[in-house]
Amino acid sequence: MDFAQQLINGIQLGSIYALIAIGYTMVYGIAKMINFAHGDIIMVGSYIALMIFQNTGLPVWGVIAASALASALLGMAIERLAYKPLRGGSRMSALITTIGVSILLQNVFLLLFGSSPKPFPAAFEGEGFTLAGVPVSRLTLVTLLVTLLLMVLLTLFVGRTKLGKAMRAVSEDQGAAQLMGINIDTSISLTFAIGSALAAVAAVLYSSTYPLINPYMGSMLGLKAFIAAVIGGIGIIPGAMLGGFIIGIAEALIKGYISSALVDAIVFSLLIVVLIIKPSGLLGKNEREKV
Amino acid sequence: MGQALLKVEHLGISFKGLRALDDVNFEIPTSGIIGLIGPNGAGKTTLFNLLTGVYTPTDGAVILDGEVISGKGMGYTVLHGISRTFQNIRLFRDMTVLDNVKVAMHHKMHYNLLESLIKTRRYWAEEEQADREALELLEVFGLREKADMPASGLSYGQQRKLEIARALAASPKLLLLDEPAAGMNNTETRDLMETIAFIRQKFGIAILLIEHDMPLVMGVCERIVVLDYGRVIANGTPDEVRADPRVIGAYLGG
Repeated sequence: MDFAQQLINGIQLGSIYALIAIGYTMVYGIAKMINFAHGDIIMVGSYIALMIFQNTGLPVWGVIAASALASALLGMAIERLAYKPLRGGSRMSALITTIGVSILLQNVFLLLFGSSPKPFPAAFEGEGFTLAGVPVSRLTLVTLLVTLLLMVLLTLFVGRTKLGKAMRAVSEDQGAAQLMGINIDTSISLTFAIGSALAAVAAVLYSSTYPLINPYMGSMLGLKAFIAAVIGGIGIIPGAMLGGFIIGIAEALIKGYISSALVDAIVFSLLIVVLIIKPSGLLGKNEREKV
Repeated sequence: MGQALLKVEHLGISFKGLRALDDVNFEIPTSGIIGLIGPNGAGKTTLFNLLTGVYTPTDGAVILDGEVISGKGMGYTVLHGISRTFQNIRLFRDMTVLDNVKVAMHHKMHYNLLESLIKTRRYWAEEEQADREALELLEVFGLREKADMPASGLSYGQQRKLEIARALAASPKLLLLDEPAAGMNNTETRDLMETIAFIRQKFGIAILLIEHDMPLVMGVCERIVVLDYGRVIANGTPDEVRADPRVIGAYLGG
């Protein structure tokens, strides 16, 4: 019974990691850069949701939607202002710029809201149901369902629509995609919008689970989700989903059975092990170097 | 032969002082087939990159249907009627054969993000129309049965054909083929010659062909432009070019 409880906790946390990891992996797949400011979008999403909760009577779904929309706009604006001018330059400059944006976001929110953690309202209170003797809270259920729904929508979008296919084409071969008439600016903007919107949804779910938010909350959460994306195979959307669940479940089980102090050490070791055995990630293919 | 579809006027480009192309002039008539040959490093691929808007010329201009298109970028050229294949195949390998072709039709599809999410009638109508056109194109190249396979699962010759189908999907007026016979055996090359002649006839488009396979070029092209060290050294019918001492010199290193 205890194992089942830990597993459910792990799936809940894993859903959140997976939503965030999708953002890392999509941006990597399409813009070929690692966006270290992605974690901070989660933090921004949480603060925006908190502001809306406090200042409007919007129901929780409205809050999630509004926060996702605002974060999507922010993600697109960051790409346009900070990353686009560096496109075609060295990858290192882009990487360092994302770290700069991350620090900027943290400090802006530190200035605006102070460093003390702010309580986040309990959004999905209440009883859920009992599964084989294990209580599953409403929050857990909502987290899992929302995550699965978004994953299905994203998969359909990327697989079936022309904008989604254009994004895949850009991720496979940017030059060829452009010569087929695909507007890569649109594809890249859309990628940032989708990644940031998913991060904001994850933010509300996460902050409802761990209801204290602060300007640095995004760094560790983002890093874990980044690890999830790498373990699953960076650039591959199903890989990010798989990696998210693996990390979430592993964390919960380590906390339950080994030691909560060792969680991070073990998760990072897991990353190292995967990178040694299969450097391209669990679902990754071996890289073909193009000449 | 109609009037000129494409005019290349005094085209030149330098890379950090290296003159890759210099004062290149030629014309491509509507629905003509022109061959572009020359020794390695003569500037053939550079010329393709100028025609497709990958590079902006240092001098001169590329004029399509009376409009200057050079310097306007890749998106502009493809939308205005020039599409191409690549010397080293550049298909979207993880996407299906059908999707590879449909990607090149995107500019003809107008539904937006919201419509694709709620699946409006326009979404279905445009997707079905694109499916139909794409399958027809695949039929031409004998690839219809492979429509749902990932492009990486095709044989080499089929991948070359799919690249041509994808380029045609953008409805070009001018198709640029960059060494389409590279790596093909004799049977496949002969098959390709027929396909190229057929495309011109069926779609009524002009074709510019870079190729090292001389029998292919001589057999299928009406005129041949010969580049050497970034300059046009000959421009004429296959027979004229074959007999041109400068061409023989360039190839034999005389």
